[in-house]
Amino acid sequence: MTQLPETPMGANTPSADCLYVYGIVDAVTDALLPVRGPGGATLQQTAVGPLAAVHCWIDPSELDDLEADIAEGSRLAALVRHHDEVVRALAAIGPVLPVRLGTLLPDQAALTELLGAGDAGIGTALDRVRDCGEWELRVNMSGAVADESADEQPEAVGVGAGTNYLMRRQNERRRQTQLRETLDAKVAALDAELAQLATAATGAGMSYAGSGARRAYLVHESARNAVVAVAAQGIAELESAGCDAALRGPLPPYSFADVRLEAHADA
Amino acid sequence: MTNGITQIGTGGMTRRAPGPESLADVLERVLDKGVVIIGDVGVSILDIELLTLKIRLLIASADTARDMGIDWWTGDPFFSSEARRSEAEIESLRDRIAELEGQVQQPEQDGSKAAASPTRADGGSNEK
Repeated sequence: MTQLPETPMGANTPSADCLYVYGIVDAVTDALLPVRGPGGATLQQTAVGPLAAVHCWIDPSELDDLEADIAEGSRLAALVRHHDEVVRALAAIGPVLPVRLGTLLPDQAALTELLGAGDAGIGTALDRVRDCGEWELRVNMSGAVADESADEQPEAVGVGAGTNYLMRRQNERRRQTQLRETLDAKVAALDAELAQLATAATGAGMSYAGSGARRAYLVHESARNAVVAVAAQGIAELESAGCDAALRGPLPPYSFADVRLEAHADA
Repeated sequence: MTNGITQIGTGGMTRRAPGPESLADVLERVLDKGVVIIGDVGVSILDIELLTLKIRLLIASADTARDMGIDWWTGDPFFSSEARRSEAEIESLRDRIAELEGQVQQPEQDGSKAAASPTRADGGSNEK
């Protein structure tokens, strides 16, 4: 049985008066949600029909003034890592729709209301990720397309020294552009192969941010070996060209849980 | 199901082998994704949209700096768990060296005392 991590926030005490929701899963027996150790809160599930939301009770003031501090050891870091650990543990048990980080509900009645209202949509979304994992491809080209002449200084004296320097810079720029186009084509080919093997992929093509690119694929277990084999070959080619590239998975389907649930207290 | 994480290549990530990811990697995956609950039934304590924006700016700044070859924080124990581990290891090695030096010095002192005692016994003839 998979052990779920202990909750770092709050405890199941009378003063804790809010529900922190981690994810939506198939309704399972409580035996799958083992009791935490001393000092840790107990993860609970609230089931409505075949669906269940996994949550714990916390004091909402514990999430007050949470700064955007990405240093290891910060409160935000602890919250994010804990949220990810619980969702991963749930994904190891069965299909899970991760709920967005920091989602709080006032009580179990609100959660029951929500699950009931979104029953059909949640069920469909859960079936979509059943027996699937998210695989993430990242490519960083900054090392491969670095300007090798950027630090070069023009010769101090001599006729045509400046012109020669500018010519070298221009040639270097052309070399970089050509290399970038070649690498883009390799990345696009790898992406297309992976997307074809996947059940779904995020967006259209690789999403670039500066010299890095990223895309997530929803991969069924039956296609896992094929995806790994294709990625291994493509990544080896990209790395031999000087790129940093990696495929990582299977991860919980964060990118494929695009569900909006709406409920009102007086509904 | 997601038993065991496989990683092929590095992709600019913290570790080549499967293992703990950097916080930036986890944030990139977790932020701004997943089931969204809207309506007045939700309790909005965390302004996730604003938090996400701030964090993305921080991560983008860090990535840009790394591309420029600036990565001082990777060796700073305050910002890096890897650096904290290294510092703890260095501290433990320092303690061990001090302990061993203590053990080496102890027999030397004992030896000096042993050597000094006969000298004193025969009237301090060893003094110049």
